[in-house]
Amino acid sequence: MSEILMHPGIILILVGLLAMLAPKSIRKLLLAVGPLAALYFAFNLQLGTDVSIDFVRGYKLGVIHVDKLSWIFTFIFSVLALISGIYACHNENRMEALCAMSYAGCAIGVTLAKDWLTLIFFWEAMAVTSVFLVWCRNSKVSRRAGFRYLLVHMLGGNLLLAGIFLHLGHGGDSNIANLVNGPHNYAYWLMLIGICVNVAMPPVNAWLVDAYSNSTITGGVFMSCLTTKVAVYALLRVFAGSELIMWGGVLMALYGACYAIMENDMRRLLAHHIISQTGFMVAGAGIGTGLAMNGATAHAFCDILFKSLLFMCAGAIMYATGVGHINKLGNMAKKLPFVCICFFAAAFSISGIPLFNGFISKAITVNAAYAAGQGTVYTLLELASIGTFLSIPLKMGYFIFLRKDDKGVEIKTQVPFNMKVAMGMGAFLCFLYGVCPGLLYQYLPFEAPAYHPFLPEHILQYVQMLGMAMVPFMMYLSKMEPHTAISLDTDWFYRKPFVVVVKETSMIFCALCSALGNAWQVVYEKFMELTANPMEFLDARPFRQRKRYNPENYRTSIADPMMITLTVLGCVIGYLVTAI
Amino acid sequence: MTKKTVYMIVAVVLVLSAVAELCGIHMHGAHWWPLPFGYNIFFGFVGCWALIIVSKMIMAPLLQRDEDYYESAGDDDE
Repeated sequence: MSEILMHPGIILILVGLLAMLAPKSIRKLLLAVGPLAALYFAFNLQLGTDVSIDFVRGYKLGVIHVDKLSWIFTFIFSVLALISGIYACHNENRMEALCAMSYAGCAIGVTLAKDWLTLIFFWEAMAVTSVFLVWCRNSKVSRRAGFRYLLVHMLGGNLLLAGIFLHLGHGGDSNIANLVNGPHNYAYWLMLIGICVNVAMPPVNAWLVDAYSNSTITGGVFMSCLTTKVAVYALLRVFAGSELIMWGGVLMALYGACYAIMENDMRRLLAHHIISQTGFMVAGAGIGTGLAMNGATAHAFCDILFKSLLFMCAGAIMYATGVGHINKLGNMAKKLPFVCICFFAAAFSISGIPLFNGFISKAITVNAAYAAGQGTVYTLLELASIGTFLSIPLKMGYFIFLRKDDKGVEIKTQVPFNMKVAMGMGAFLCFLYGVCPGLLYQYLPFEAPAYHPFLPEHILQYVQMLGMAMVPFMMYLSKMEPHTAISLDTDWFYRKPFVVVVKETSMIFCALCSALGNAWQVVYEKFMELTANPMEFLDARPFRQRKRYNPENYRTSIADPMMITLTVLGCVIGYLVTAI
Repeated sequence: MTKKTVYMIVAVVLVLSAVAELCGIHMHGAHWWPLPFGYNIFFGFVGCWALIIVSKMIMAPLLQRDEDYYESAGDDDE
């Protein structure tokens, strides 16, 4: 039992519970320092550790199973919990504190799970805890977005659950293992679709942009890094080497990049880039070579750092100005210089610019695709890299921070110190891993040839490609400025036509019900009318008796029974006299 | 920073990188198309241009709607 309390995820859930109950001053301390305990235990998890607890009928739940892959994901989720906890510690919402920490704890629960049932328990718990980070924003729009998020995740979770039950029912191993080389039966496809929902692969991607952009400022930082990265972990664990996954990842990388170029809302744009960057990881998992899967792991690690930092910067701007639209912002470099520095550290990281952490992670997957002979994948991922550079450092960087026109935006509230500390930590880590890639590479889980990011040809490749990408941006500068609009995504199907179909179907069924009710009433009344007087059928004069039953009409004269009685009596007496 | 300055900086960086490429710094691999001289410069320009054209001039007119397309602004009670 004591070993369970060393589970970093359980520690985070306990921190969340205590933070919810504690008074404000202690809650701040708990949110800022509590995840440090989880980080300590995560870092000190020993490879090969196996802890199980009894469940039912001798079934054991493997709650802690540490190998290289689960360790690195547990470690980075703990780092995220620490940074995001500091970023969020000024929050007064108790429910948000509980749900944010529990959400991070459940994400760690998935990564440390040994068996399918433990995985699905924490998987579903992630959806339940994270939806409150949307609902805590407390607006009608966020409540609706939260319900949509929950519906999609319950669908995905239940597909995964059904797949797991089928897998176990067919005698499959209860421990989580790669399924690609096994039978591609119903269980396989259900589990794959269930995980693809969480990884936000088109066409089941729209929940991400919808929910993350409607979450609380601090909740968005947690959400930006957990659900999709946990799904990437699951893909690496279960579906590594699937060609379908590889092409799905390429689609994600391009899909997110194209949508981000159109987007105006800062957090919607960043959410599209979650899809795009997750696409690199999914493609890496799909390629399935050791180098590609190390690339996917490294990119998930680095993405958590720079994506959380980007969400923190966007949140800080929203917190300070109350504005979230790019076309209503400008000259923020002068008004929020610290946020500007942190933003560009994250923007250079996500674009894969040398000396920032994206360069040492993204390039592994891209070059692994090339080394694996997947030239088309390589080219398309490079194209997605250009899209990232175009929409984050160039578009967001220029229109939000660098253009002279400030659009009349005022700083209404100063960014709290704890937010600045968290952003500073994120920026420092982005730079640290960018210049010292060995700090990350030593923990990469798969056997693969060593990757050297700072080879001259790698640096030259990115300098030329991204440098030249600035030219079309400057050429089309006026067109690149976003305008107030929303881009339709696959959620259109369940927010417009599906709603109409449901409404119309309901109306048809209501009308049918009403018509059937009326018809039944008519039938009932007729039946009652006919059966109210059975004599109409029995009587010889049915057509003359079409009126409601009246017994007086059918009552026979007293003479008839008397006559019958006397006749029978006469016969009996006559018989008796004759016989005697 | 004016457009002209940006173009100048990009030009200097690209010329220097092209010189480095001529000096023998280039990729090695199984596929031929990333290997020719100037491929990355060409791909950076064409790729970025294509993304802008596809996103802003094809996808945006087809897919973009007013912000209150799904829910009107009055629906938000914040």
